Amino acid sequence: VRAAVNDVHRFRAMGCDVVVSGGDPAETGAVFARWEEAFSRFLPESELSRVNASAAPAIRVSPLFARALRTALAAAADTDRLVDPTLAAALAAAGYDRDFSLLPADGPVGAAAPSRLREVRLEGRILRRPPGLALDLNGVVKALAVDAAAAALPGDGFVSAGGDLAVRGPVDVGLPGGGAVRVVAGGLATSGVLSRRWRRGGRERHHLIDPRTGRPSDSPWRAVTVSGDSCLAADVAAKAAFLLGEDGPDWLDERGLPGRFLGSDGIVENRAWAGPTREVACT
Amino acid sequence: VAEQSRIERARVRARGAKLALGGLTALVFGLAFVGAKGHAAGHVKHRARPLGAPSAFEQAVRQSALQAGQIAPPVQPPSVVTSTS
Repeated sequence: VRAAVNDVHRFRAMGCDVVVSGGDPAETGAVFARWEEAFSRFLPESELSRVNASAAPAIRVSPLFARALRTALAAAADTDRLVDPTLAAALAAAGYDRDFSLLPADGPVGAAAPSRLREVRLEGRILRRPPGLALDLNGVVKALAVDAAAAALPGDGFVSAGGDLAVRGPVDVGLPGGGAVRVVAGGLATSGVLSRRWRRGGRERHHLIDPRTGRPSDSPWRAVTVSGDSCLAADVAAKAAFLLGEDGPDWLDERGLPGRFLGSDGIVENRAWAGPTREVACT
Repeated sequence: VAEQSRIERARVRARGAKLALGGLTALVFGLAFVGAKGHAAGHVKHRARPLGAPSAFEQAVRQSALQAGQIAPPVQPPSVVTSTS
């Protein structure tokens, strides 16, 4: 996210730019630090790293971890298992196995790693999964952190991190490929391949893994932007719509979610996106 | 003596008949009991499970967390630009 006015503050967290307006950046930074310390794949002392490294078949996790995993499992159910928290091995096989800034110019690509969602059970705070099954909760954690930080703002403002945005009061937001939209309430999220790309096996890879193949998605879209009643809802829906390819606009319309798709041939807006915008424009 | 022998044999036959009838009754009762457990409506045929809606039904009525936000046309230059995550 690129800030364009003066009352915003920027800092780095979770491997991306965080922008906050209307609040204390130190407080927002503390929220992000707490979530990053718990869920980073690349910090060996994070709870996620310790859970992934544990040889125990059942582990008692922290309340924060249980909440995030429960959210991730619910997101998987809501998206027909497209947004999947068990694709850490697939992401590593595609080459994203260390902090993005440390990725080499190229290297060998690993074997596709399919979803193992059915092997994960969460009962209260007890996580059961076969040892060796690595979780990646980044599909929901950043959006949860954005929502948590926005909820902590004292008044109107917004919090944005790497394409994920939550607002308190209306905010005008620039969109990929040009244009803008006013986010009146809730959140706005963009998922796509405009950033976080790297080379492996002689070709470009990205971080949006299709659980049906265990490989980076071949979606025709470059970026999908969705409006949700929270940043989490928007982010989960944007990822699912991206992975669904040509079916993405209809999938969002079936759920009443406004979506905007940036492809190589131009921009496609689904009916839910175009409808309210035209309605408001006529009044 | 012959008369006593006839009476004694009759008693033995009667005792045998009683035993056979009792055994047959127990056998019929046992078969009926097992048959009723296995087939009669109202009898529990497997281990009882807690009452609850079928999981497919619960899944169908569970509200999705994916709800739309509110958007409108912009009225001023954007404060931020959403990139991609």
